[in-house]
Amino acid sequence: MIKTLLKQAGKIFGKIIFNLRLFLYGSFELALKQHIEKEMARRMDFFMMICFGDLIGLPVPNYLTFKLLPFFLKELPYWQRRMARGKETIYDKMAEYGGEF
Amino acid sequence: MQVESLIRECVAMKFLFGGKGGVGKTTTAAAAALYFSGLARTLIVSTDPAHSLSDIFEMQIGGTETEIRQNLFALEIDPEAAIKSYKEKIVQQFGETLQEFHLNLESYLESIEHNPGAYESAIFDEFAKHLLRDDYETIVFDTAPTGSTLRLIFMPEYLNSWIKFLIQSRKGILKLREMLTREKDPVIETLYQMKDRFEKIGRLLTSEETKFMLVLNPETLAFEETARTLGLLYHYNVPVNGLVVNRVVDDSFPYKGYLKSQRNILKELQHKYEHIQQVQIPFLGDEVKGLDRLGRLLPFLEQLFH
Repeated sequence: MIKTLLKQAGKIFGKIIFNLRLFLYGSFELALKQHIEKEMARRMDFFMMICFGDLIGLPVPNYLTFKLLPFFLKELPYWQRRMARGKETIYDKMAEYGGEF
Repeated sequence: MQVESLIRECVAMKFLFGGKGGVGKTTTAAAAALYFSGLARTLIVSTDPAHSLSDIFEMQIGGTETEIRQNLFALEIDPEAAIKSYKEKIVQQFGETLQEFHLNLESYLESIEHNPGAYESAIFDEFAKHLLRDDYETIVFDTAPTGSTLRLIFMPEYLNSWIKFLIQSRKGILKLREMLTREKDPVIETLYQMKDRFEKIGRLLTSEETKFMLVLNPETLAFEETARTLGLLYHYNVPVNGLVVNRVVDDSFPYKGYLKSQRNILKELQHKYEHIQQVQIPFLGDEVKGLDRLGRLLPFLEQLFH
């Protein structure tokens, strides 16, 4: 009798903890992570621009930064597309309807 | 073994010969290399894209070390070949990623070669490579006329500031990246390697180990340019260890006006730069070319190296 009661209480308690963790993750960590990721992407784009500007038509001293190209090879086509688009339309639209992204 | 390397360190010297075009830099550098080859293993490197070492030693010298005589090796920097090999080395690192992502980098790879500054960067890269090597006791550099050489000397500082900016920018990213992952970043490591290299070269160029010699003729144009170069080098803390005054004529020279102007400039030189060691090489009457005739310059140069 007591055993089953304890088991049920444990189950409920576990559920509460699980939901609490989800709540905390959603309210603090997730937003922070998204924010960090977005900021990082922005800075990464800038870094790639000062290193490999020639790929999008900006003349930069590229003799030395050419050494770094192998590390960025996989990101290159997406970056080029992002640079060509110039404006992050989806994010702009979403920002218009409020909310943090 | 250890003693050997210690001795090598003590003897290790780098000489840079600079000056206005046509004053006899190559001749003096070649004579200096000839002098040092009697003491230790010597390499003479020409950083001028318009090479004339081949002509002075009267043999074909290319981008690889060529033995002129015992203990004397010569090399002419070929910037175009350097750019090509540099490009190939990096492209090899790409591996199969290029086909996997359907990337078209043809025009970019082309732009590496033709970008303004690529040529100078390649020369500097090669220059640095030879400056840092330790398999020769003495390395003599026959440099290009003043302007290009000054750029070569100030290049580490300029490149360092550019690399510093890149490092700063990358650090900003890493600060954020640290919150997400704990992986090592290969990009910043490469940047630090470059920075270390430039700082090492910058230190080496201003250290005791590197001797910077200016060659000039006792003529107004060469004198004025040397004065300007000396001022600039002093401003950047690059010590000049000697002045080689080439083609000094003696009393038997038939044109008295020229003789007189030379005397005036020589007097001014001695007065203005008495703190720098000076040697004079007389006008030898014929072209200095080939090992035998280069040997005639040695007694005049000896003073400079003691």
